[in-house]
Amino acid sequence: MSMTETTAPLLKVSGIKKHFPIHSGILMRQTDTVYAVDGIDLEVGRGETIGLVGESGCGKSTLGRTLIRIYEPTSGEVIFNGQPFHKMSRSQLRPHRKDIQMIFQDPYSSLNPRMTIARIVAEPLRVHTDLDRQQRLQKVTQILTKVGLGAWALRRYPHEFSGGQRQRIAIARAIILQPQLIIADEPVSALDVSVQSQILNLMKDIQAEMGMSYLFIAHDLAVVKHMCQTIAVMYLGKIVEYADREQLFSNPLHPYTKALMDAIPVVGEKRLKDRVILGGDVPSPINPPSGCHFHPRCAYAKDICKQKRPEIIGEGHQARCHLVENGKRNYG
Amino acid sequence: MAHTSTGISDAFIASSSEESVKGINVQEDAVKTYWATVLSRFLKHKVAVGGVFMILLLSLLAIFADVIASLTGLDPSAQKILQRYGEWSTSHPLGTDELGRDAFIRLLYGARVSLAVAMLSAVASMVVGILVGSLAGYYGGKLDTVLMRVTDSFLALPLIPILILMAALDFGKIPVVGAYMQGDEGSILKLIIIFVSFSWMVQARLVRGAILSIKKNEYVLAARTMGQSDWSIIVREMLPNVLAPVIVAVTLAVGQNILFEAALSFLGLGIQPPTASWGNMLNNALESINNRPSLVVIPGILILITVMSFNFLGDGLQDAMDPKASKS
Repeated sequence: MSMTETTAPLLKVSGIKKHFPIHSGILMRQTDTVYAVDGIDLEVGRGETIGLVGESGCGKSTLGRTLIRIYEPTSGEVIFNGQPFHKMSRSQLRPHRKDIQMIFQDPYSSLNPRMTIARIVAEPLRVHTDLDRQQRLQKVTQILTKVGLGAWALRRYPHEFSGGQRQRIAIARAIILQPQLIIADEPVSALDVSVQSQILNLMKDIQAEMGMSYLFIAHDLAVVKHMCQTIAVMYLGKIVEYADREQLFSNPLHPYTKALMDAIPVVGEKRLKDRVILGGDVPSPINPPSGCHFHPRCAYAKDICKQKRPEIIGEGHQARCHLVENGKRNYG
Repeated sequence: MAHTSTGISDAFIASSSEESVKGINVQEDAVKTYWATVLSRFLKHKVAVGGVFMILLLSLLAIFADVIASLTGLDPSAQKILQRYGEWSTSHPLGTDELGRDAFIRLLYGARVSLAVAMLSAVASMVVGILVGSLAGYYGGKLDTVLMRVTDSFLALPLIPILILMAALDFGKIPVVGAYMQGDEGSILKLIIIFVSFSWMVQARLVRGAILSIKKNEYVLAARTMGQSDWSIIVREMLPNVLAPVIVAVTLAVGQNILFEAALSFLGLGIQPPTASWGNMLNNALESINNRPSLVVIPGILILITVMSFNFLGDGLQDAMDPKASKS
């Protein structure tokens, strides 16, 4: 590994966009466009965990799926390991796929119901290595033990397992090739709260041992706080705030982030008087609001917010808001 | 955390953990356990089991028609012109037909033709249907539109007139292919081609729908992020999840094909005499019904029994393979 590779970030995303055309009418003309992901810049360093939070429908899952090329990006660059991941052909992409894996949200649909656990977890080995069946099986057994299951699981089918166990199997499948990056798309949101922490800690342990990076997508701030050093807050296809964990939680700059923080229930203490309450839903990404996308829901919106689209500014702690200057909130 | 619903005791789990590391042939094992549950559920369906029994019996009789013929000395095409419409006797268990041929042995040879045509065309249309349906469903877009419009057009054709028209065409005159379309095998092959070209659409739509419904499942996406080829995703990941309704449809199609064969042969357009099929044995129904009703009634009853058996089999399979009932 050369010097440049070790210092360069593992994943560098610049200006990535994913727009979905909507076709309608008899001739199936394109009538509208969903701006699901609308220009995202992001860096993930080696061994780091970057969190991506936002409400449902803000485009965070779409971003994850675009990065891993389930969806083809509309424009922008994804540089993974110094390679232009976004413009490789399928055959060029194939050998690189083993370095970037995904854990899906729903452990009930991410495992093929007709396959045994042994086959499910061995699939990546079958595709990417020359190991024979015997060697694959040994590897699978090791990995299953690592995620807290064991050889007893090999011959069983997914329906014989609980949600938490299934997610362990999905993790086993994702780590068996020792990838450098794992995109975890809300890996615990479908699980019981009691099981969530087990899975999160398992993911942390695995990271400590194998040293991969995580791009951790979630809508639960507590989960992100537990997992991530750096957090990006997404709203309607764009990142509105980007900071490390301590800064974000102690000093949220964007009114949207502040509203999300204020929505976390507090036990015992009196609620803050200046807390921001978020009304309504995320606007349609088909016709995003003019100016700042957040202005229709923002309690502090000024005229400029309706007219001019804000850029993301700041060193280290960045925010996309007209009312934020030099790392300070000029509102509320 | 409970490992839900397995009949395996803890002792077995403990002992199997050592074995399965060395693990012998996991893949075969996987297939067995799924089909074992299907089988145990199917066996509870008494009528369907009866259907299978009937189908097996008829198939065995058909397969061993030659052996039975040589054992009994009966010949399906030997005519005894003086024994037309002969009575049931020890030498002719079910009597003789209008040309003095033995009715019993002709029924066996007829079973051969009728069952072969029906089963082969059902399987062939399944293959075509799976191919068209999975391509259309998986790739979607323009390919889907084209394939499905073709499917719709085939469905929109009026069945009986086209069947009659195609049956009247002489496939032997087609260059190259024509050489294979001569004689008895030729007319059987021709019937199969005709049936397949009119029954693949049902399978294609079925497969397409099923593929569409699981295409967005995360295990399919996972297979893609793993870098599996489209072919491998369709064959390894998707088709096993789609197969249950297809197999059911195939068994039902066999029954329908037997009926079509009977209808065409009854009209004199299917299997050409002197080759016997259940359908063309009915051909002379109008004549024979007065002289010897059994010549018509027995092939008719056999068709009825076979079609019902296949339908029961289909019902039984449907219940047994229904994934929503998969608790055992």
